[in-house]
Amino acid sequence: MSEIDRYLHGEMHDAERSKFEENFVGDESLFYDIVQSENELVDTYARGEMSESERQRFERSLDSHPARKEKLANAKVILEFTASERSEHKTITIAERSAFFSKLGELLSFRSPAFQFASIAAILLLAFAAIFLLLENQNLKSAHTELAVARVREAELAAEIENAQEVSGDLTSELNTERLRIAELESEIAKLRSSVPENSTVTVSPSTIATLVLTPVMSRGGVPPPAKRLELEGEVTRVSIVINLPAETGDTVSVRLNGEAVANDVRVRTRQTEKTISVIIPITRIKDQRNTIEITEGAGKPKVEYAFSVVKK
Amino acid sequence: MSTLTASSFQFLLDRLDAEPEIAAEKYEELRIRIAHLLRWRGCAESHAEDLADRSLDRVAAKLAAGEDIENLNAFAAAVARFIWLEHSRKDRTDAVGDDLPEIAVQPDLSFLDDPDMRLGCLRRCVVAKFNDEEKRLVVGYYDTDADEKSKSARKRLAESFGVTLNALKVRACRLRMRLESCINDCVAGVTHSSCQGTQKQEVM
Repeated sequence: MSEIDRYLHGEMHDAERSKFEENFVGDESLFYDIVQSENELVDTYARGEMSESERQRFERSLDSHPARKEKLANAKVILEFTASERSEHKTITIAERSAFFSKLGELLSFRSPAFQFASIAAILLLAFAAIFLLLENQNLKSAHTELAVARVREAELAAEIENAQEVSGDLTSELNTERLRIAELESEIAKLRSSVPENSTVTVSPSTIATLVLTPVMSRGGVPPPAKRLELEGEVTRVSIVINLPAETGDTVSVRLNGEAVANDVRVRTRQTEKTISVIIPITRIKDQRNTIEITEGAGKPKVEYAFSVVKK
Repeated sequence: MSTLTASSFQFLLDRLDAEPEIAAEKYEELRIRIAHLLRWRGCAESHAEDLADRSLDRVAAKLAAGEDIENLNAFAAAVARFIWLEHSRKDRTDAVGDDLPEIAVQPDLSFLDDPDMRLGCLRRCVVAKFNDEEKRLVVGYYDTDADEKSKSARKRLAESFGVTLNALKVRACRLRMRLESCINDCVAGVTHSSCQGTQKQEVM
């Protein structure tokens, strides 16, 4: 049994009690331990939780501690009050839970400020997204336009390359034709030599005529077409020029050398698909360096132009 | 009868603490302990506060008279015991004479039979004298059942208030003293008015 318990029940001797009182008046912790012990004592009694012996002992203390009777009366109402506060708190808690679902419902209702705020936020978000997509679409259209322009440019360049290849092919074809003609001429010379008896004496005078084969060439971008080069020996007095004509050329044509007419109504020869004419021009009418031959049909504009250069040795 | 004068009261305050505010707090705390000493000696609730005041007045007078008091708390306790003896003896003399054995003075507790009135006083006191935090502390501290349960509940309560269990105990005890004092004053006021046949009035 503790000192506090014995003191509260008036079970201390006088000297011990006096000493104990002097102690708790100067000792806060001890004093409030006694106060708390007395509170618990009356609370336990008020709740009816004491054993029979404890109850009798407590009731005896009431006779010598009249203030404790009033304290007991207070303890009863304090217990009642705290119990009611506890149940009220629980009721409030249940009410708060109910209010939670109610608030949740209100939050999701169309009229709630929260829902309206969320709606406005969603609308703004969608508006920003729409603007972003519009700008992206415009960028895409611009890229498509650039792509189309690039494709057109690509087609133009491809056409230019094709034309250049055609020109190159024409030149190659002209070279081959020349080689073929040379071979034919050499074959003719060989035949002629074989037809002459070996013991016959043939005086071969130096050649006074030179042969030139001209093929139409295309002029590009105002640049003069390349001129054929002809080297003449001193004995040459005439130049035989074979001119290959375009396929659409008519039956007769006129020929002008350096702007002067040298042959009119020359009959066009057709061999297979090729059309040619031959003219013989005195060397005196041929200029050194570059010469131009124009082929016309009737009184029209020059149909085809040819160029060649001459170097006299 | 009070023997307190302004100068002697100042002697007591100066002895309790050099700082006036702290001295006043210590004075009030000493008064509470002396009043409880008297109750635990058998003094009725209705006289405990008055006798405590008389005890401290006498201590102050002794200090003012130049008495050498080594332990003020022990001296105050001794004076309170003497005051209580004086009071008990006077009551016996006033009643039936000097020959009766010493018994505690018991007040008329008939009004205690009306718990509804006391509960009403308690509710009014809580509303009038307690803020929300104090009410939460009182309800939380005293709404306990078994020992173990109360220990853990009070520990949680102390944590929620950010104080130690001992500090919580002191605060709870002081609040309960304030509450009980208010209830007692309220009940006494209502009862006094009823006895005089006048309309009930509340005393806070």
